[in-house]
Amino acid sequence: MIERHMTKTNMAFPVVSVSGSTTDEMYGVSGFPASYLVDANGVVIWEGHPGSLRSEMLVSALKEAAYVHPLEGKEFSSLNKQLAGQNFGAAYKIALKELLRAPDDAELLRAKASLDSILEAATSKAGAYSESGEFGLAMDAYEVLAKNFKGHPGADDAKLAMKTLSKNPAAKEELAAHKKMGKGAAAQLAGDREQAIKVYEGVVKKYPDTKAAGRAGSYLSRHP
Amino acid sequence: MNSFVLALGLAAMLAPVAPEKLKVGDIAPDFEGEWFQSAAESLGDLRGRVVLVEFWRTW
Repeated sequence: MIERHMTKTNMAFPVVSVSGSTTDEMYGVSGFPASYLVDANGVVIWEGHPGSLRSEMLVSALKEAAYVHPLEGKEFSSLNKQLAGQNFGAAYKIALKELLRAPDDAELLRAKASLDSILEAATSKAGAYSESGEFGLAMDAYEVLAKNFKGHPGADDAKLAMKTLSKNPAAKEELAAHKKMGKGAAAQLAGDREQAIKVYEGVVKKYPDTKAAGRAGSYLSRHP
Repeated sequence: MNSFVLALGLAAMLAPVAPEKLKVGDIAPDFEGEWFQSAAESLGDLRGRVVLVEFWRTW
């Protein structure tokens, strides 16, 4: 029945059908409709009635998520496929090749410029994390960059930065705390708030002087 | 009669009245269900993307 309605009304987004109230309880939904804007890292950045979601909020979230709008034109289907899969390294290669054929194609030039700016923004973000002592977040950022831009020189630079970071004695404690934070995040994703709290309490206790402990503490203060 | 009312009041205070709301900064938990028109089958599959989760229900 759901599928039929989706086809009939041209719904262009996925629908998930859940039964029972487990999902409502995990999210704390008490009225309908209720909506949550989730960023590229899975973190809730806004919640409320869908009608009160501002476009500025969406635009800034999409900017952070390294989104490239698909190119107009059937000839770009393979490039669009790589973009949709966030295989930006492969997409870049295709774009460069196509540009040799059509150096003035506006769509190709737009895509290449988007990819360049995504790479630049991601590199400078990772660098800024590293400089501010957020070594764990820097490591994650470099890892995503290396994965998304596989085959592009930017990915090799990211890998090198990861290697340097992992050998930096000043980053050791922060990286260990960050790794543990990942377990808390996994518990949150699984809807196990109790376990997440346990993990975050452990981080605060074991690595009190880290940035990660600050984040763990902020979660704990929101869920006393 | 008075103690009965008090007990009820206490029980109401002890029992969670409403589920605790997910807050900004929390990680959105995954949900089990049937996914229609989607290559992804969990929120975890959608990492790297911005997702608007909207709850609706059938009565």
